[in-house]
Amino acid sequence: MVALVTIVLLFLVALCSPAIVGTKPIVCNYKGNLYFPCLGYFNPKWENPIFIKDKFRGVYPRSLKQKDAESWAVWPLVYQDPYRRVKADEWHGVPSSREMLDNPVQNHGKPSAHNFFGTTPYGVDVFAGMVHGTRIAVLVGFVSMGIASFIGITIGALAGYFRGWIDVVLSRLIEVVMCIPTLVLILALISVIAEPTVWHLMAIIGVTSWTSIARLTRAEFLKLREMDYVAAARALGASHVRIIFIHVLRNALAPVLVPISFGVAAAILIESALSFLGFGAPPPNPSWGNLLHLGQDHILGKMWWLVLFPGLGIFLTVLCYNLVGEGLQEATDPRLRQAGK
Amino acid sequence: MTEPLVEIKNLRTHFFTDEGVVKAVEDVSLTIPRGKTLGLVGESGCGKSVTALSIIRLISPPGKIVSGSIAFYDDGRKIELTTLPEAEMRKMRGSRIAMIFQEPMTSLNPVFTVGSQIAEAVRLHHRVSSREAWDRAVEMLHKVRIPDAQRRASEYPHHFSGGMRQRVMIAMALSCNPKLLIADEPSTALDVTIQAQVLDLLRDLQTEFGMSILIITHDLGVIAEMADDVCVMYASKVVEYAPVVELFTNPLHPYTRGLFASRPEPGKPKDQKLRTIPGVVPSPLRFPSGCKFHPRCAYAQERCKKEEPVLRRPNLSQIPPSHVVHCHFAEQIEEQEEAAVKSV
Amino acid sequence: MLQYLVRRMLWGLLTLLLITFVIYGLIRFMPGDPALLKLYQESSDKKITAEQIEQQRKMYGLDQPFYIAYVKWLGDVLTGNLQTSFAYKAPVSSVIGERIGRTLMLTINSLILEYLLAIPLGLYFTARSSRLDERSGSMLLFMLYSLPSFCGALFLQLWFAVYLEWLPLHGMQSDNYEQLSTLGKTWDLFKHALLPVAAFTYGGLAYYSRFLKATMNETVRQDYIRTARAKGIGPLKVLCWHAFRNSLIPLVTQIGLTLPALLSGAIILERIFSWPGIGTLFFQSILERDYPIIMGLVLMFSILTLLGQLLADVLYAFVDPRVSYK
Repeated sequence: MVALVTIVLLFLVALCSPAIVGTKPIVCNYKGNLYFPCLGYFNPKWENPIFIKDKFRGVYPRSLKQKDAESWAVWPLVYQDPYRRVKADEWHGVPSSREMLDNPVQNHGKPSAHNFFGTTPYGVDVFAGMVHGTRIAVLVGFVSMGIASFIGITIGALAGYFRGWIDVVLSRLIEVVMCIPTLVLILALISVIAEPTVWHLMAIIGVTSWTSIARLTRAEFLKLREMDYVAAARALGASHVRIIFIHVLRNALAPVLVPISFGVAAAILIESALSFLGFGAPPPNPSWGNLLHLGQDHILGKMWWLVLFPGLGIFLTVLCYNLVGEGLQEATDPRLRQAGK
Repeated sequence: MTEPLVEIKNLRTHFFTDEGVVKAVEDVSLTIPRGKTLGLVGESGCGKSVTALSIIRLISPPGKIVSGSIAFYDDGRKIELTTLPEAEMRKMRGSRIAMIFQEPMTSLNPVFTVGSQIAEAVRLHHRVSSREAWDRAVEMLHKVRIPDAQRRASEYPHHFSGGMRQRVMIAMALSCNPKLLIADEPSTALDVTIQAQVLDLLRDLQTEFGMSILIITHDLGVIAEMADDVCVMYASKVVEYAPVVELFTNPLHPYTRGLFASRPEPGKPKDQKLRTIPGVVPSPLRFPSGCKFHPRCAYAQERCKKEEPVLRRPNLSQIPPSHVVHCHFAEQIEEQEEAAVKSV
Repeated sequence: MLQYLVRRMLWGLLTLLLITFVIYGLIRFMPGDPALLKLYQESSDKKITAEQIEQQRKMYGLDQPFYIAYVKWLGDVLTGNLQTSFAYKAPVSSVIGERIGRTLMLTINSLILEYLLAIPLGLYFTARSSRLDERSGSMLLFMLYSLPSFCGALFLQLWFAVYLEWLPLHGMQSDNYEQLSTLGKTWDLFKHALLPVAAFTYGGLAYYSRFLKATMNETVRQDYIRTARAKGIGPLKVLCWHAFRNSLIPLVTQIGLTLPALLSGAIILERIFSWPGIGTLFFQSILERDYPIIMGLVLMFSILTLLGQLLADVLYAFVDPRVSYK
């Protein structure tokens, strides 16, 4: 239960990340129009072109005031940036009692009131990186498992439903793919791509991790196709497609969710591992694995915050998905359910 | 009357589950005579298996014997089983009290040979060499009429059929000459012909070994064949208790009457429907008030809803004193039924 | 049994062919030309002529389409020749052979440790089912199981090597290794291996003890356990003999199946600890586009995976009398 709440929280953080930490206003009034520059964190193209034309160069507070004295803005909760070092002079409107400094660089960026989780050797705020990194973590889990579920369920359903030679061929295919060491395959696939982005990564993780889903779907279908309601549907003249997707799949869905949930955990793990190895999203992208990679590069600088916080982030996310998977397993496995009684 | 082998008084066994306390056995008293067979009949979930498991103390948590006494008379000594320390109880299991279970297919450990499983029981309770224990195992297999016992002792359970496995179970249970054999639905999972063979075997072995048998079943046919005394259970309680012939000639409790009436019998007119007991077995979490049978009882009255009856001797001339029943209106119902039979 | 084994082997060979073919195709599509890379390294400022490139490519067999090159590679492999590494200029088999011992030193040790610790732990937790110590212990194991090995490895490094300075941060030998006595060498190696082995072990340990506990929980509910107890057998013997003997069946099949997982785990962990084993080798070969080495390693990984599965089947028949391959 706690795990589910945490996952929902993670989603919310991912969705609201620009409103929590950022240097771009959530809403601002500039030259008489309303803009939402914070959307630029989701996709650079969504940042209103007017700010580029007016040469804001990403530094909003000063530029807004300089270029339009009438302007106003609603700022994110924390003024830090996941991509660049925040300087002392950019932030106007703080009470004068609070001294603002440049973000510290090298190994001086211990966690502080300005940088909750410290800063990287380049002065980038770790907290901001973590918050914006949730987007990648959430996306990776969803997109890659979406792909994996699609492939896995289709293959498993076809094999289990039609049996016969289709089953033999598809089962062999599943076995062959299972034999390939996943990490080896993923590394090989990534090297094929010239400039891997997060999306490539997700696709690759998706196409390599569908085997367990397929196996389970096949087993469920083998079991369910013998059920009377399938025979009844067939007697009523329902088509194969209809039977597969309406009648059988709906009943097979609950158990199939178990490997999917574990799969999400595994996908997040693989993504951060790849980023950590330097095969992930290109560095300016805030990903937990990238932060960890920095932490390892500078481990002798005793920058514990660079290892601890991203490590904890990955750990907790994986833990939550595993817990959800386990909960699902207990709920759908009749043998375990009996044990609970 | 001679001393009984086991005397159970006011036994209560409850299961403390998350959904509430399941009173699986409530205030059950019964006596297992020496060398005789007591039959325990009832629908599934009525508490008959739990009663048996309470005797051998194999109730697993969250189940617990809450109160009552189980006295085991062994060579003139009285042993109180409910308070016996676990180590002592373990010595009783197998050597004095043995048990066979319903599912012969899963009751033997698949990774050990049947001979070694029997020999293990022998070695647990007797100081013998493994060679002697093995010989005893082969002898026991021979006694339960398994052909070619010498060879088959070194085979694994999956080489045996269901009936054969139940014989192995019996051999294992009797290998240490127990005083009491608890047979929990020993023939239910078997084919009809095999059933009869197993029951015959049990009876023959009883004459040979002289042990008492507590046989648990829902099958009145098995009771008729095996039991000397019968105890009918419904919803965790004993509702009727009588010698077998007496019970079959004069069933008194409405539930027992229902059990007999719902048995298909050849010769009955085909157009006459089988009489069934209306309603369902109540959930042990929500037993009805008063007499637990009243929602399903055709003779139920106001009193039955409020007041729980006691197990008593009915005030009827033709009924012997050994026949007791758990019903307020046993006499009136008997009269009604008599009248009905006469009027036909 | 023999017939079954032969059939399995044939399927395995077919699978191997498929895997190596796919991977070979893939790495040939990798951007970056090993011939160019090589020439740049060798002649830092000299100009590279097209002719040179062509020559180098021919030497590496890159001038042919990949399927022909694959057939050639396959032919070489069948005659026991894994070709020559581009980067090391030595036969692939000797390059791998030199490093595999170091990887095995980590993996075998941690595998032994995992089983040695997981079995008593799993049995203990089954015996103490739903008591306080079991619940907290199980939760801890679940958390360990969810802690990715590279995170765990970094935490270990940070704490034991950087802050406490008890153990070396990475590498396999100290700089003065050659001057040490035999005992000193062993001790030095031991110190270096301690952290990697710990990082390798904890995840598997958590996995196996949870696995064993789950199967044991299943087993102790079986009827034959009740039979055993009805015979008068003590709880410890029921657990460790009757129940464990049955839970062993799924456990041993796991040994075979985790073998390849351990090796691919080595790719990440060896990199973190700069351990000069095959994981690091694989990593570097990908960066350097050292095709023969990559193929050699892929072949090895795949064979190990298949062998692991075969081993699992054979062990299965060994511990479960119900299984026979006829």
